[in-house]
Amino acid sequence: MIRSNWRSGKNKLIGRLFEKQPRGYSFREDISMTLEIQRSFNEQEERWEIRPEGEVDISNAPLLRSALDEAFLEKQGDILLRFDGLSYMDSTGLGVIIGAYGRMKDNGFTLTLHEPRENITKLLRITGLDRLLCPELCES
Amino acid sequence: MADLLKFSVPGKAEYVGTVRMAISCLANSAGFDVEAIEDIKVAVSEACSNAVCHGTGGELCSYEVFCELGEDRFIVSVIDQSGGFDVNEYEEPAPDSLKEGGLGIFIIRALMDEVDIFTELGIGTRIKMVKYAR
Repeated sequence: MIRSNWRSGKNKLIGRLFEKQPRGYSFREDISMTLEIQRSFNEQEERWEIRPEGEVDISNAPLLRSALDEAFLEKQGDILLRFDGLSYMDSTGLGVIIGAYGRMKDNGFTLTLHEPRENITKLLRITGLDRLLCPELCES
Repeated sequence: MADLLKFSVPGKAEYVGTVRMAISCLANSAGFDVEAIEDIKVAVSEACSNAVCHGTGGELCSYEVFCELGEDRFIVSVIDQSGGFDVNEYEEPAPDSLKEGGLGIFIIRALMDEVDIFTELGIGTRIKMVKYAR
């Protein structure tokens, strides 16, 4: 499991921002968004199942990139991205996925996206990525 | 009269989330619905990411976020002094040849009701976005 510096969400922001130091409270510089990435290889389907949970933005998009790259380097196979736990993503995350999709395609593998939430589905539709990445959305 | 809020933000990636949270609180208190709040959140994050990415001064630069809460509209301007970008080099993303970058501006335009981008090479960029209350 890959974990960014924040574990449990926004409501702990204040507690984490101001950590108690011997001489009072100091401001924590490291406040990027929560992102946890779980991955497992499904032997039957011969594909990676990767589930990012939390938020992806400019501060932690590289983490998603390395999770995708590392999985593929470890074992070549299709990638299924489960997006049901992802509450926010913007163009920086989309960029990572476009890049990974291209590299997968060049190697003869697929990358598909499952169960994105409504806000992310909207971005996929706007950018036309839904046709490429989520055939299930276009069917519905 | 509209209420004005100003934020000065260090040009570091990790603060984009902080701006996003502040903006979504403001949009929520202004009475926008969930979808509009989400649109504003994404658009402002894109503009901030843009200010961070294009910051030639890197982490030394800071940028400003101005919010104007009017009766019927929410105006957010993101202003950086980090060198601007060449408008002539900006390409609208094509669905068949999507690249890793360049989606931000496209998304902002799709999500907000009015968008004005002023950029001057060597100086900086101002992205003004308006969302109307319905």
